[in-house]
Amino acid sequence: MQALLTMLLLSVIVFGLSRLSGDPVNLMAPMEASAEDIERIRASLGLDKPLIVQYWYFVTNALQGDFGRSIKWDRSAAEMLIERFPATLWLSLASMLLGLALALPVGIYSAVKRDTWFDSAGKIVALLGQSMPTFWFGILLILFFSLWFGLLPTSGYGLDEHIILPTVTLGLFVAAAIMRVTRSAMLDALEADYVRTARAKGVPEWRVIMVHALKNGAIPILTITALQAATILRGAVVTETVFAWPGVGKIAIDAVYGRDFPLVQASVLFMGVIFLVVNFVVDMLYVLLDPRISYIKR
Amino acid sequence: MTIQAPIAVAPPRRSLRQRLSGLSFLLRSVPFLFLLLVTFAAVFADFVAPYDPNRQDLANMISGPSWEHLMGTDQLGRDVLSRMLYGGRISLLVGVVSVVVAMFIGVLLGIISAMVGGKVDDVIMRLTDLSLTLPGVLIALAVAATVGPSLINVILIISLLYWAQFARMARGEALSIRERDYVQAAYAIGCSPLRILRLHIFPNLVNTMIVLATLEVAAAILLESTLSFLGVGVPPPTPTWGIMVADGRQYVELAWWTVTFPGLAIMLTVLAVNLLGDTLRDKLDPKFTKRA
Repeated sequence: MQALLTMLLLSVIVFGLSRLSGDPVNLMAPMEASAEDIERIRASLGLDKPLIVQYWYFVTNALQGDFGRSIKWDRSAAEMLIERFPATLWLSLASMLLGLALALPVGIYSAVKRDTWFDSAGKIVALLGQSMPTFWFGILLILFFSLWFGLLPTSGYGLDEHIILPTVTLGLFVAAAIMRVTRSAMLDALEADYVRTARAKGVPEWRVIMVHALKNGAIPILTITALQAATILRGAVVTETVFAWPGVGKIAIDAVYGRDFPLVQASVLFMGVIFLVVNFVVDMLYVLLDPRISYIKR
Repeated sequence: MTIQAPIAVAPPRRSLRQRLSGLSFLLRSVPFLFLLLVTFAAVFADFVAPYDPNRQDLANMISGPSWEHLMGTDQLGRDVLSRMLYGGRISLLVGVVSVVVAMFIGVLLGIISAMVGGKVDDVIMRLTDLSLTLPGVLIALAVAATVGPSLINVILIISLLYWAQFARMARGEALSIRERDYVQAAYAIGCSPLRILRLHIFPNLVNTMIVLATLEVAAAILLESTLSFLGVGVPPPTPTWGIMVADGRQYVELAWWTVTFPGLAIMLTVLAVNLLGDTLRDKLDPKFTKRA
């Protein structure tokens, strides 16, 4: 329900913006077009109808998978987005995996070794990670690893060495956020009574940490991981631009530069849908992980 | 049998020397001093900057850091240090103004939500939910593509993305303050809601809002620089840190300084604001958990 409302609002915003921008026909029509020609183009695009009718067309078409045509490429926007989507998906998955692989062990160990040098170092790295602009970090990585040491390609697409630098760029930001939450969730869990009980009855320490405490700390960790889906999506726009990674974010930015409005609209809506789907999946996961939460009864 | 009154034991007061020593003192004062410096440099950029930020000197382009140009020059021979000082203006201005606007909208709606309740409360809370799930950068992209980028648009976009946090927090706080005994007593003796708002709820909200606002300023500066980098922020020729990084990117192999210094400026400023926020949180608002 929530998701549907958000989608509706997003569609209104996107639609409203496209009409705020002035008359698209003037942009599309050639200079020498006569007034009748312009009228004809307008009628052929349905732009002579009242706004509410136009909005209705826009929504019904979108629901049928028709997000309009790119002006620049003269192709269906939906087709273009679906074609590029795997690139974004691979990059997101890889960065999420890298983020978790870094954040979970470091976060857990920081909580166990609270207030030691390891904990402080982790905190400083996480703070730096959250204060650094993604695009800058990406460019610095290119400078060091591609231009100065020549180890990795500067840009381009491929599920080989090409994906390493973009993944590190995005993954580090994901890791910084997850690490902080993992640490505090584990600190809470390690202080709980059931942990003391487990220790008292002689459960080995690794089991106390990895099973008893981690299971109970899982909810906040999952929440922040889900929220990182948003960070990744936002970061993907930037990272894909920096590394010329041909994903959905790159399409969106190129469309903005090319003033290709239908394509901008379509990519914003498309990413909005992905974002909401991820949120929905996470809500479902909560129910699986924590039987106390239920969306059926209140 | 005597009943012993519970004795409140004050924690041993740490000596001044202990309080000033070590890492925590550094963490508290350095960000503050750094921000003062950045603000000063931005406000008085006209006097502090060694060169006109837009003066081109093609004979002297992409020259490295030297005594004439402490941070080198960019691809058009413009002085990087001067551009950075002017760029600080945009970052601070956008960061602070957009968060102030967001705070104004948010606190207003949050308090209305808490005080009026019922349908109004439902509608406002639904709106905050929506606003929190909207993908911000994407909307900024769409706005920039259609309406065109400008200073006002950037500020409006950021404040429209950030008001919801304030509304949630203000509503929650107002609701819990309203339940306190002295506020209930004030109701009982017939104080008007406006008087309660002014004398009880508002003063109690201020600290929380200041802490939240500080942390949001850090996020806003980061978002502003990202929008600038993507070319949908404050348009050139105004120098901004994000644009400087974007410009320097093509020449990064020849001129690392054009990218490194503005990026460092963003990172250190955001870091300083974040640390300041943490300090304020510990000082002003014990309700926030100290751990995170």
